Amino acid sequence: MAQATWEKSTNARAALARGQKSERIKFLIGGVLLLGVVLYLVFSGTLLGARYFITIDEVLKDAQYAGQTVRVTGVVLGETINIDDESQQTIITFTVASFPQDHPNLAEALYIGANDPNATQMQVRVVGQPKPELLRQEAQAIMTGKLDANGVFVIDELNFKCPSRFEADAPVMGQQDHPGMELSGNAG
Amino acid sequence: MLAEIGLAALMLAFASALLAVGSAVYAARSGQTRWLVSARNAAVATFPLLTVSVAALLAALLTQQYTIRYVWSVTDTSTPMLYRFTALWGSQAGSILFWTWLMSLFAFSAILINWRRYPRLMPGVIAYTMATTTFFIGLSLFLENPFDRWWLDPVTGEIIGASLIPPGMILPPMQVLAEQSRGLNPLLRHFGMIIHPPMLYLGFVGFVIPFAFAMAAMTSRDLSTGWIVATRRWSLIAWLFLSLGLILGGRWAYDVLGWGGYWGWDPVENAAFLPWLLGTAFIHSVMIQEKRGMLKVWNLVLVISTFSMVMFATFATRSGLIDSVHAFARSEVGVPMFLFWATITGVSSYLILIRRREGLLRDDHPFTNILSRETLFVLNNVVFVALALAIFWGSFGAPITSELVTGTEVTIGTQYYHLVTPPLFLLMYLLMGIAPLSAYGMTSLRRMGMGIQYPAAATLVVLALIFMTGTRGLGAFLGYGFTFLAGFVAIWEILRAAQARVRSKGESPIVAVLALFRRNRRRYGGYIVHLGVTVIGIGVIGSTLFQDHTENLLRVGESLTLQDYSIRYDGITLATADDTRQMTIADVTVLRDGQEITRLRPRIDDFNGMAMTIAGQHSTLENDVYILLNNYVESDNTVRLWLYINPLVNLIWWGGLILIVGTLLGGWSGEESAPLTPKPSSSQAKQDPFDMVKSPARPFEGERDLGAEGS
Repeated sequence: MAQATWEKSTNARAALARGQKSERIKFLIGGVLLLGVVLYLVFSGTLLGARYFITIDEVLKDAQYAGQTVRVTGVVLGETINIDDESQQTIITFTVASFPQDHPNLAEALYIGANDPNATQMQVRVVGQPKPELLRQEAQAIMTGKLDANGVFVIDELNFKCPSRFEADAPVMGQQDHPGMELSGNAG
Repeated sequence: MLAEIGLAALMLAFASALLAVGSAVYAARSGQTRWLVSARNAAVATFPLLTVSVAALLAALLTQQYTIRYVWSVTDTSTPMLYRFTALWGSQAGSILFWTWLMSLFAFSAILINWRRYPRLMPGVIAYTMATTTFFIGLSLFLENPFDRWWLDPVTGEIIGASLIPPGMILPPMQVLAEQSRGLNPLLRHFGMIIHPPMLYLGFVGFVIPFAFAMAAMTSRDLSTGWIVATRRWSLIAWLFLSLGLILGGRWAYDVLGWGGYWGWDPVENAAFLPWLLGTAFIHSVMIQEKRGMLKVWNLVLVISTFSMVMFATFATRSGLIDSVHAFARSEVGVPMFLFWATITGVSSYLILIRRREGLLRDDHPFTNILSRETLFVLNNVVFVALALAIFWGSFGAPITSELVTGTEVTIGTQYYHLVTPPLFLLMYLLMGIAPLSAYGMTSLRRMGMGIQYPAAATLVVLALIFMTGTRGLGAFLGYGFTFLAGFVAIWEILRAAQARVRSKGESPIVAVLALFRRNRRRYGGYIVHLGVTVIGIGVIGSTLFQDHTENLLRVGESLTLQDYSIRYDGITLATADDTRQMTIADVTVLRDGQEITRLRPRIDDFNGMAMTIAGQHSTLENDVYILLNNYVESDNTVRLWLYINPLVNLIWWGGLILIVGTLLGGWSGEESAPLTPKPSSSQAKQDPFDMVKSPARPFEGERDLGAEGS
């Protein structure tokens, strides 16, 4: 009797161990499959959504970016902004200029770029998008699109660095306004 | 005077928080209760001191003290009183102080509430919450001081900012400062901004409590379920606020940013979404540890990752690391924040590894069945973590890696998120549907099939009805199918349990449902949350896949048509608001099938050259008729109007409300019962560099007396 109980218990333990092993294999297969799917999605998504974030000089002069969708930043030259409201779709054109990327004060960098006659300039065109609220002189445009055969950058996606407020470095005695302003603040 | 009061209180708060950290560490090492009490008193004092500091800044904003640099930079003489109040968190320096104050509020409450029940964890909880608070007070004090004032050099006429009076300088004339004050960013002048940032900040800082308890459990080696039970409600509170912050942020963007959407996969939006995903995984998996003693390492990893992600999001948003419409300007806080984030992440990861190696984190049960509730919860966790990792990669990983490796930054566009996230969200909804039908340990396919048959039938009926409305597309039907299934399972589970009570106890259906919620609020509150998430999901699918829009230039009397709606331009109104903004308002009549349904007034507000587009909206559960005034040409009185039809978008906000109700029901649960500190195991005698408890095998000296010392 004692032997029978021992055998039964050994068999049950072995069956349990077999069951656990089989479940472990299922977990392993499931885990590998899930990981594979996620990695595939991330890889394909990266290929689909990846855009070089380059300068105006690079997009105009470097042949490797020709015909590629890229992301470019530049400072808006206010007097070049033109909105064609007569068409069925809104067509906005303006010119952006390069500006010093490593400057510690963004506002000053944008001011320099907008007023430097030697800064590289690029004409851009955006069709079928509402006129952006922040499109104006010295705004920083962040544009995703392609350079066309005429050297015009055709925009798919257009954003502007949020000029949350005009924050002068300091008030000035005897002066109503200050040319140096910083784009900063929080909108979220 | 207000600047001096605020600054003095801030300095005292810094000293108090630092003292709390030192005393708590010494208390843990020496085992002396008096040091622990000192630590508690110092920690508790930090909150009122910071309250004085915040109140001083607020009073300065409300009373227009332009000598204070922060007040000068975020308000001007025309700023309405309401926005003087919200200016407290309108820019970097003020929002760091506000954030720190909220964190101290959480620490204050958690220490007082848990003081008697978790004496062994208290040194660690005080040390970790106060170390974090000290760091942020330090940022406020040394790098982003909101109490800096303007000082005038009477000789040169130069004006500089400093917190203490520079030699030979005087305060500039108030009139000069008032005239040049800058005012609040127009985008922040919205009702959403009154509540969105505080909610988001509460969600962020709230996770410091679960993090501190987890770290305290590891440093004290008291790795029983005590820390889990203690933090459950805190995690839910933080999660609720974070959810609210995200939903309100979406609503604010929808109303103010003028592009007809509410979520743009912007890095800052994503940064706030990441801790939400990890926190959601944590509040699910923690149940498995409570019920089955499993996933001990995983839960620590999740709670620490959640807080680590909060810190990373804060660093990314405030350092100028990323270009975003939501980001703060480049700031000196970036480097210290990065170091703090790296330190807490590194130390906590190391502690998990050490405690795991010591065998203190062994699970009580193995996984036995692939259809068990614990396995499905783990799968759900894997999906949340996969979403978080994928979004992290797209927002930060790819750009940073590419710049480090190739020297050229590669950014990831929205196409990436549109490809990667939908399958994972579908899987999330599928698991949300089937996991509640499973049992702990083992579930048979037959049992699950029986449980799901009615919800699945209801889902098929709804899908057939949707098909009959003319909706087409595999993506839409998969999306609607999985979301409706999750919702119907939640409803079915409530109804089935109520029906059982009706049969067994003879209660009326309403009494039975109420009794269910009274007896097991956590479970049924959770189902209400699932319902809320279902409603949000339906809103997201409808508004994403079926949004339609058109635009045109209109003269007075002309119309623009989209689907069965048309809008007629009736004229323009030009006005000046009390706060001096110039308003250009289009008068528009909305018609459906030729019948007038409402009149809307989309407008452009111009704040001294900075424009803000305010949409005209006609909202129903079916859709939003959303109209933007994009341009007004005065010479021929024409306007360019954009008309959007956003189907089901309002379900997102209603789903948010349901989610709040469900979380409050679930979090209000009075089921938790925390064990007093259990006996530590013999392996606890081992020491390591992070071990704060000198002799953990014995109870804390005077542990039983802590109640008398407590509140």
